Amino acid sequence: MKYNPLSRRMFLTGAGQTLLAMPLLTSLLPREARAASKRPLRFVMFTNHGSPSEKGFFGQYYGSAASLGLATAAGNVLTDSVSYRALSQMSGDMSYILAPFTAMKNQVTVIRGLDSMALERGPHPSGFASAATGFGTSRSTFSGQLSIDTLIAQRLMPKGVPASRLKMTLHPRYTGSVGLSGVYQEQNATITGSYALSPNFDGSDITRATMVRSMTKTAQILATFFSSGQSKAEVIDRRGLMNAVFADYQRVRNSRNIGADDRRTLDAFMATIADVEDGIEFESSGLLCQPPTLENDFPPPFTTRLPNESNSEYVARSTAAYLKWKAERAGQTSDLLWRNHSKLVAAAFACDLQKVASFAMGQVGSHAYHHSSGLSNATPTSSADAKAYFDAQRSMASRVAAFMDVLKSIPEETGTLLDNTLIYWNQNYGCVYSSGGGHSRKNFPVVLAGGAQGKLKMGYYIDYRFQMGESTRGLPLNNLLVTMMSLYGVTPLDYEFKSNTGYGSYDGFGQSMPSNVTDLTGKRALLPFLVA
Amino acid sequence: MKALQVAIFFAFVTTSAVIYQNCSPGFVVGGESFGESSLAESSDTEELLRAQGTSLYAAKCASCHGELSISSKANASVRSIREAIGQVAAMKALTLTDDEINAIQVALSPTASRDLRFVCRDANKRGLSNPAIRRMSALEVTNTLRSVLGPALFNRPEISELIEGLPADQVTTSIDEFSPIPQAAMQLALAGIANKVVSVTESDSSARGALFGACANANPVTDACASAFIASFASRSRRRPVSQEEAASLTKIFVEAGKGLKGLQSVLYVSLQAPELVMHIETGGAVEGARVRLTSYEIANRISYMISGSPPDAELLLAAEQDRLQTLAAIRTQVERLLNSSSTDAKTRVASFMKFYGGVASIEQPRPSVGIANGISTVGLDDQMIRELGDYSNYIFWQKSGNFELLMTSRDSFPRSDAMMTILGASAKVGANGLPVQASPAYPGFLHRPAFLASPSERTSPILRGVHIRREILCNEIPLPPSEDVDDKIEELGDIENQTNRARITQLTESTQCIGCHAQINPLGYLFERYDQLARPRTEEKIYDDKGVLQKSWSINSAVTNPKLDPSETGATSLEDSIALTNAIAKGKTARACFAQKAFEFVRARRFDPETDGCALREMEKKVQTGSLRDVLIDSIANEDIFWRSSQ
Repeated sequence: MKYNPLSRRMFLTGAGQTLLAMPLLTSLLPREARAASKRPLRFVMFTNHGSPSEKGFFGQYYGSAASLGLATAAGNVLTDSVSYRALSQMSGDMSYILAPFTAMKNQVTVIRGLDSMALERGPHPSGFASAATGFGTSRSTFSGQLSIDTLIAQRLMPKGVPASRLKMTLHPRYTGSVGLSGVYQEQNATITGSYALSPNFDGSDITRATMVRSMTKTAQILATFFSSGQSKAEVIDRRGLMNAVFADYQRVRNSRNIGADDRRTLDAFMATIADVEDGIEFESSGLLCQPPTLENDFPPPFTTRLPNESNSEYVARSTAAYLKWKAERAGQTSDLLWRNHSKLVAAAFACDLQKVASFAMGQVGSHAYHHSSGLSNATPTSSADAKAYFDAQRSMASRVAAFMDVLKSIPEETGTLLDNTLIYWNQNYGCVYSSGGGHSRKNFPVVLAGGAQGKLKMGYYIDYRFQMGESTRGLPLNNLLVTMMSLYGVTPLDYEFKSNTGYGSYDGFGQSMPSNVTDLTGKRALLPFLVA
Repeated sequence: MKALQVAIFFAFVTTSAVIYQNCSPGFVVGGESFGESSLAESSDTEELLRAQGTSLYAAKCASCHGELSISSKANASVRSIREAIGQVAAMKALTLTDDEINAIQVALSPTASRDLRFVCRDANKRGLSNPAIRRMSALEVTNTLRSVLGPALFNRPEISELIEGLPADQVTTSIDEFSPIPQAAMQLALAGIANKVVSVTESDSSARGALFGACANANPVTDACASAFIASFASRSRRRPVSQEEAASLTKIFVEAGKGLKGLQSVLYVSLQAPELVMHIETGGAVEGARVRLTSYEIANRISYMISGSPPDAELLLAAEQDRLQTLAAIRTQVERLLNSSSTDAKTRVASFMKFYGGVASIEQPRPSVGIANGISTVGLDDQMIRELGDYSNYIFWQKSGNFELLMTSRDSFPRSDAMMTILGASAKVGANGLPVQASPAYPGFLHRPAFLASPSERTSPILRGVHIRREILCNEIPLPPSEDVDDKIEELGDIENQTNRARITQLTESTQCIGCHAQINPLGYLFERYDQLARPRTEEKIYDDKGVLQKSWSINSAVTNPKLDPSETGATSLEDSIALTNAIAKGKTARACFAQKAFEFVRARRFDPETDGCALREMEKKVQTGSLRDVLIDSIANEDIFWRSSQ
């Protein structure tokens, strides 16, 4: 069955509508859409390069669980008991890095003591894969399972949705300072190399678990997920002409001497023509979901031609205006890019165009610095270097918090968009333990945020550590991934690549974990206490 | 016996993947053929045996005994290998036949007789790894659109904005960046561009005339006008004549759209989304065994896109039309002509390659505190260093027609700021004539470009520098270290910061789990210890605080022995510093082979296959020994492979 996006959209009208104006537009919804009051639980995943120290991230809750005065709740098959504390009982900021969440303590839960179980080819890319798939990047440990955002999107979106619109995978590119000293600018990182900065895996290339279809450019996001705003009469019958485009590809495919591999390449590309058809259908409908107004980034100025202006004069004038705009845009900070991308995701959610989004955040500080800063014991006041690194980490928290604010500003039938969203922020590695900043698979710094439609306990610090000291061990990060997927009805039938295997890999730390954690029941178990 | 061994070898290579692990060189090599069967020649047979042994050694032995080039079992006999398998506990699980042991012994024997790294195994397999369909990069699509639309339309802001939005997918520092799987976003973007161009032709008569011809502004638009447009535009976008079937199909679109301007616009819309706008399509001519011989038009396209990432020019298309591109001499003539034209696109592509070769598409800002301590502003210094590397590479390639040795040793430099002039020890900045100035003797060649040496870190990193040289300049496969080993070692050692880099790294990497790889990495890094984070020469390793105040310093020992740059190295080599390393690399074989490999892979946007690409690579490797870099680029294109692709 062909994907029909029109039946699923809330339609907004008028170019230049801002997100703040959206509440006024509810009355414009088709009756059918207004009646559908139950909104899906959206899912947003943030991941970023680098990782914090325990002290910097957990702050007031640094130290052993026993020393923190935590309450205890009953566990489950994974562990006998769980330590926790309501964040509302804590005064001030939980930590330097998590300070941006202080004003919204009841809408975040901070989790400690989740470890990657995967055996890695090397330490460097561990978190990218583990954060959302639970498997290592070594091909020997590759489980073949899709990342959770892909699995959730497959569950939430109708069958047949084009792959390019299954979910929003965004990778804002940084070129400017983020308020740190020059050295610690986020990197102009690419996303398709061996050390890609996103853990998303959509099955497109099994040899590189980190392969994603992520988007950096605002124009690309707009072209893919939003109407171009041209609802007026078509100059030509674009939709009908796509048959001719398809026939052109078919001609090549049927050429003599085209081998099976080449046909597969062609097939993959020909499938994208359906995407174009969808876009045309959408635009031609006259029912448009307009993108929000973006800050100084898009669109470029369009110069209206003056009466009697020659073509060369017009080209010169419009080009000059464009170059001026381009030069101004070159100075924009990465924060602006983030704000715009956040608005685009929120708008796509509000329009019911999309239900899942993944942000791959860039590198925090320099890679070499990560090794040489003595981060394990550093605090923001240890040195200027340490402060810069902590500030970079905090800027990531700020972006998540700012995104929450955007979602919170958009009311839905029940609560706000934030109430109907689960946000998952995890990082490249587990917390830094060694003075050399060695990459760790222990104790991933996890923040859950949003209302999650009341399905998860929000407003808590939850501590899953069961073994302390140098060999701190916690529960598998895999169980958090399983827990989040369960909220969307994604079950072992959906994620177990081979039957009875659980989700993610267990060939690293799993070898030294208790059997109740690594047997099938344990692998499929939800994290105790977390589910409301 | 030899024949049997050769048979075993072929069985081996056809059932085994090329092995890249355990710090092995990773190359499967075999006998030389140069277009003829190589199996009858005894020296070739030895090469084949050595190739088999090299692969087997990498798979079975290197994890314990180190990479072949630094193997602790060099010159081992067959008997000693056999005895070890029978007696050493860790080796008892090995199952090797006598022939395989023989091959390993050959690989462990002195290699002075082996001149070249790549081997042509079977000339009949040349070009077999070339597919019929290959996706264009975003840059190739952009250049193609520029050619098809013409500059006036291409540069219109509303169109160029959309073209800039094409998904970025260039080869920059790693060949793996270029996924062969096409991106859905590319088709979406092209459709958007096509729609925008159509809308421009609706509102702008001059654009209409430029694209469709002046006849498109007449009323009514005639069928003849449409036929002329179809013939010219469709040919231009496909870089070949349109077939009768294609012309009929496009004419049908014109008619079904109601003819007139709308008909032309419909043809335009479809043509701007033609497969040839996003793919290299080589359906080819005659089938010869497993290969297909390309047509002259397809060869013209290969030549042009390989050199400049752009469509063929008129002269190349004329040669294709006259079917004059079916000989190597003709190919070479065209390649040389295009290079001689020094087009902007060709220069851009060569510049991209040199950055890819060095693995330095971008760098981080050098350590500000080191700049403060030395009175040098580091703001923007990263960009200046990248530019200097580009200027240097372009000069050696284009102006000097330099060879590999010159690339590695020239003291020409291109400081364009006071900071770069100070760093390079030059007496002046580059003047208006753009000619180079001499750097101090501390800056010979490509590996001493400041972009290569600079670092943002508190301390320089011999490991990162060593890995970079191994991977990028010597094409060694260096795996990532096991995370648990690294974590455990760091925890075990505790705080070792108050020591020299060399002392710290020696302690960190001396264990048996680490030293196999680090015996190759560390020496190359130590050699560069005579350069600080700003790429300035130094005799002491200095630690500064954030304000540039000196905290600690140690004298530097950069000398190393046995750096193992070439497999033929005997082990008695000593090098004092990176300048000595540069001279050794400039004269050695491994780095030259690596340059050939990277040029091959960049031009084709894919990894090389030793089975099918060995002949071309061997020719290129020979050329690196004797010719200029330009000659190498010419040979990377003008060789027998250009005529072929796989029929599978």
